[in-house]
Amino acid sequence: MAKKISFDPKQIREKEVVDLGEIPVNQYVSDIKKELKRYGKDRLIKVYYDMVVIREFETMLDSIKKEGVYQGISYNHKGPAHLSAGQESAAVGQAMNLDPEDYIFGSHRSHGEILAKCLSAIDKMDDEKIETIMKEFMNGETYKVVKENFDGDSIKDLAQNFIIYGTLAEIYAKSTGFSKGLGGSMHTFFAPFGSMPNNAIVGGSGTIAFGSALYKKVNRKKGIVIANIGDGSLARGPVWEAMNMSTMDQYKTLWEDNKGAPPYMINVFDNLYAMGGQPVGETSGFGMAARLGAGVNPQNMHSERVDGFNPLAVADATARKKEILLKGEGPVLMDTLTYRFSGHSPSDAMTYRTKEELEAFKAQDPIHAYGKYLVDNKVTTEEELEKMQQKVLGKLKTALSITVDEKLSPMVDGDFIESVMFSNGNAPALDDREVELLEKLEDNARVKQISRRSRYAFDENGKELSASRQYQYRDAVFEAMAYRFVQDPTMIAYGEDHRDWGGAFACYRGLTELLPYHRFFNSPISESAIVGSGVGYALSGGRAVVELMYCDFLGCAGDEVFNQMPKWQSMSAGVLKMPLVLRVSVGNKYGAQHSQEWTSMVASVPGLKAMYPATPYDVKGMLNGALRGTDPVVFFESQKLYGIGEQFVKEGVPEGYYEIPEGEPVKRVDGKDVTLIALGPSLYTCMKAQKRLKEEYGLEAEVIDLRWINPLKYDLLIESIKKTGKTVLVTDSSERGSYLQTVAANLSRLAFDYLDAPPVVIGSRNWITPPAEMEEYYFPQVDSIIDAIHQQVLPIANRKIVRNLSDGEFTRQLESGV
Amino acid sequence: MAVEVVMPKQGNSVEACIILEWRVAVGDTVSAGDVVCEAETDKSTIEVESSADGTVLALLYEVGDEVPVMSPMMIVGEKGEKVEISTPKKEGIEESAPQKAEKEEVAVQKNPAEPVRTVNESDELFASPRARHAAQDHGVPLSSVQPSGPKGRIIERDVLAYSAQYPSISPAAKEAIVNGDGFAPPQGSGIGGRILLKDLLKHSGDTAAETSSLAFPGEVREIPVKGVRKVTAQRMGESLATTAQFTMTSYADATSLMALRARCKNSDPALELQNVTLNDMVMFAVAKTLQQFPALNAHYLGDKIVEFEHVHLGCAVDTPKGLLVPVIPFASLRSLRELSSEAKRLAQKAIDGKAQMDELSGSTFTVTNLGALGIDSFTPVINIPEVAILGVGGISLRPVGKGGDDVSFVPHIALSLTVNHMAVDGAPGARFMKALVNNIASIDLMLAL
Repeated sequence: MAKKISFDPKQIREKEVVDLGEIPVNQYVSDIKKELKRYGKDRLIKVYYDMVVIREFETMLDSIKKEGVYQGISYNHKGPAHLSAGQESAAVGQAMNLDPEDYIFGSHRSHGEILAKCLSAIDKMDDEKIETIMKEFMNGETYKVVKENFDGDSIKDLAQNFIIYGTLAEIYAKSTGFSKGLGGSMHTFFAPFGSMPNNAIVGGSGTIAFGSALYKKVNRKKGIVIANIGDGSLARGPVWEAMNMSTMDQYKTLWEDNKGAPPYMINVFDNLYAMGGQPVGETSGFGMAARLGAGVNPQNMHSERVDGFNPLAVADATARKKEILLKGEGPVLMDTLTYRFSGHSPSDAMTYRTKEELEAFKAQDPIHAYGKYLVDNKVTTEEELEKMQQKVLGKLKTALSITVDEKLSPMVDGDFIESVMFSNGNAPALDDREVELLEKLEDNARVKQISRRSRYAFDENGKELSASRQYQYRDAVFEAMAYRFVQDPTMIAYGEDHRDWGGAFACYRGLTELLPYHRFFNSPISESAIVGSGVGYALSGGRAVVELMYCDFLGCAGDEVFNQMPKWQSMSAGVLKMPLVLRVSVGNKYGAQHSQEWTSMVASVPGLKAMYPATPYDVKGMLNGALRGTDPVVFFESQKLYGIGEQFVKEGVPEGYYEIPEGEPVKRVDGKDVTLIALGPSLYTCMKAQKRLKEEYGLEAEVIDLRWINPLKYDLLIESIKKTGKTVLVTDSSERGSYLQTVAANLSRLAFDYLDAPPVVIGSRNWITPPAEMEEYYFPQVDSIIDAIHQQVLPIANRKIVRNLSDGEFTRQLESGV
Repeated sequence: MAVEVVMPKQGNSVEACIILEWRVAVGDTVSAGDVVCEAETDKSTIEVESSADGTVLALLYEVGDEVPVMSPMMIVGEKGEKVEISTPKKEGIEESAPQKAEKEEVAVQKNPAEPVRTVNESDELFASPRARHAAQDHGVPLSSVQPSGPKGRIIERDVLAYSAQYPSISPAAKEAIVNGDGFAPPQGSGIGGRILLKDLLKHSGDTAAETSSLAFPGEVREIPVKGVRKVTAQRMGESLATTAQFTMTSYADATSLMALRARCKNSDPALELQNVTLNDMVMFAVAKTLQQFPALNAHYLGDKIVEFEHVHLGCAVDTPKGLLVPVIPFASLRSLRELSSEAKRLAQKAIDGKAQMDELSGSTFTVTNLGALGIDSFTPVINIPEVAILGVGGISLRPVGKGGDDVSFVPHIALSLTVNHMAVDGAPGARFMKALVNNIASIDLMLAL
């Protein structure tokens, strides 16, 4: 328990200085004898070869992009090409001491890293394994093209061709690419060789790679995980969040069953430019990226700057850092100095650096320097190097010719893209090892407490039971979570105030006693790192449940929720799965920054499943489904409802496992005059409106609880509109752009001929959420619903208007932007 | 003070309503909202409510009169209050035709009770898609419907409310009709004229006399048989005694007939088609059809049968004196308008007792019509020496299979043909009926002939 780590006021007030220690810079000393002994002659020569492959690969892309032709082969490449000529030594040096199970995640400029890592993995794996991987990957489609058109003189040679072709085909959007062409240049990767997703968002890999390291740690998998990011990304918040979270003390102080930090390294390929801006001297103040380690933990993150112009210096440092990581003593920050000769992209006019500077660096060309080093030390000869260059030229010519051949390398069709948007998997457990628990579920205090509660809100006389006797919405969250924790050994949950506190809204009370630290822990207040690491954990093969304490904090995790979580399944053409559930609690009473319902933002991003249950029965059933699937789910919960019991399902919330059919709304009340469609807590507003419409105006409203956002089945809604011809949609979200506006528009389209009035959306006002005392001005009220019916749908005799829902007022609001 | 109660405006296109029935009489006390009369537009039947409280001082129109909308139709005031009326009256209704007053003596207060129509600004017709469907399903013209929806929009309930003025048929009655246990009258006794099981007309007479406590046989009156009555008695008796009459009944789809009548009614007065009646159209069809069936356009003279090339159509008219049959000569050569105006002219003369004898003889085929009196089918008696007579019944809704179990109710007009078997056999008679049924169903096409 965190309680055991207490503060001593006397001690913390004592006079002291922070001793930052030293951070090594370019300390590598060349010693050919040592290197020969360490790697052998062939391996040292292979370093040169790998660098040439990368250089020529990038040269080819550059020529095609700028001139449309390479070695006589023409092609029009429409997509981007962020090249790394000049940085080959850094990439190849890093890969040298990495094993296939070590992961690297990269950036938009990672072609070289992919090739280096995969070529290294090929060297380290036995032929049989390599062949199996190639044959099994994407049902052998890529392999078949390579085998028939680009065969090698050995399995390893063939595997090199496979990597070159698969990467190039991906960059050129071909179905034989590693992600069927759906990832493209900035997202290419090949996981079986340890090259993990590269990210087009600057610093995007910071949190994801940390999550992947967390996966290795929690699940005791071999290997380390490196986030290869640029010096420009050091200014990004999520990178700092990941760095901070990777240094949490709890790995050492509290993770008693699985001690040590996740094996996470941030490696900065420090090429001195962030597109055109210069972090050093212009846009940042750290002077040297390696310094930043000192700001994060007492070990300075074992930070070190390495001369990335020498592959052997990088290889040496990487090996040393890997050792630290494998001992659980990380994380590590490496500042690998390098330089790109090419522009940021082919459109780069290089207005930000001088020709002299570029020439000076080109004179330090790492490939040339390394070749000279080998020749000078008689490891090889100029002729051998020349022969290697010729071989590489030949390989790339063939690779390009079969990639641009539309028959050998076609593109996928639109239907395919649709087919990989979701994996729709059924995965009760993502590993078959034994689950780690601190106690039996049935012995858990929360479980016992819940067992005494009534799973239906009313007694046999229809009287509502006291809150403490009711099985509540929050209990349903707990039950679904606890169930899956017992089923799936990979499942973890973390976020703010999870452990001890039990979550800010007590959904997780009881899990602290049930689960060891590494399965359930407190995160720092780092929404980006919380969600981003969840993405990394999930795409590495584990199930994660992460939480945003308030929906308003979605903005803090914007990139992770909108760019990472939804995209990786389809950008990888289904290679990756994303069994990640993001619980998002929608607030109220806490004013403008803690009370917003942003389902529409999530709904508008393709690739996410989203739901917003309003009853305990649905919470459990829907969370159950989310937790056994393999898709990313945003699970909205309402703080208005955590204490509510089950008011609709008379049999009560089942004790056993069940799911709610995906995408199906549910009818709560039968009616014939008007259909009220609710999302989330507005269900209860609609229920009250339904009652008043009946009692005061003799109107029978049908009430439908949408409960799903995406996917959503419209049958029930259309059926209801066919009956009533009228619908008012009610949401706590601000009206403008709300998700129910989408539903309303869809219903106008799907049921137009049955409509007796346009569907009307009643949302919250397009204001700030005012303080709790004034919330009734803001959230839809029963009178808003009745007046919407009266003024827009079906004039009601004897209705005295309480809220002005006329067109004039609506137009005025629209015109005023409120 | 006396006030005028006006005929309300029923939708945008309605210009006048025909009074079908007064529910109040002069001297009755009425309150605003009481139904005072039933009136017919070209599209529907409505109940007109009084817009004022008081005693009915005058009814300005008779049953059958056409009242322009927004014009006074009744005057309500204090009991005994004297009013002089200057309302223009239709000709031909002598009894109630008030004397023309030089000047209104009583200031007649304009009643502001114009029906509320919350129109949209442009006064265009706006109706929800659902209302449009409902209008189609119920055969309701949207232009006649009062909108109650937001922004002057016609919504479903408006169409249903309008449609409720039409007779609807209860499920039990529907089932009975489908089973052949009766047929629907134009109007039922249920709410809004809903046709209930008990309203169904039986195919054969079924009236059970109520026993009464009156002394048997009750009051009697003696009426001498003379004049027209005597002639009629002799001719009918002779007809039945000397011929072998049998009657066959069929029904013709009246949809086109009704549509045509509505069009005539709404047509430019200059065309002189506004007074064309359903019966005129049936006669028109009969005249045209008979040309193909000379055996029915004939006289049976015992030793010979005389077939006529031209149709001289007898037209039974109920006059104050009794049944008279003026004859429209060369009916088959006339257009519908000519036939109609000739029929009206002759009927009026017969009613007025001014018909000449040659206008009452020489018919080759007779049409008699009891449909307006709610009779469906009957057995008309042949006007000898003609060999056939057509009895025209009323229009009723009859079930028509729409494929599957779906049944729709379509207005049909009943036709009863009595034939003298001595001259004409059943099959030729039936063939004539079939052709007539088809021709009436497509009366619009007949006009082109």
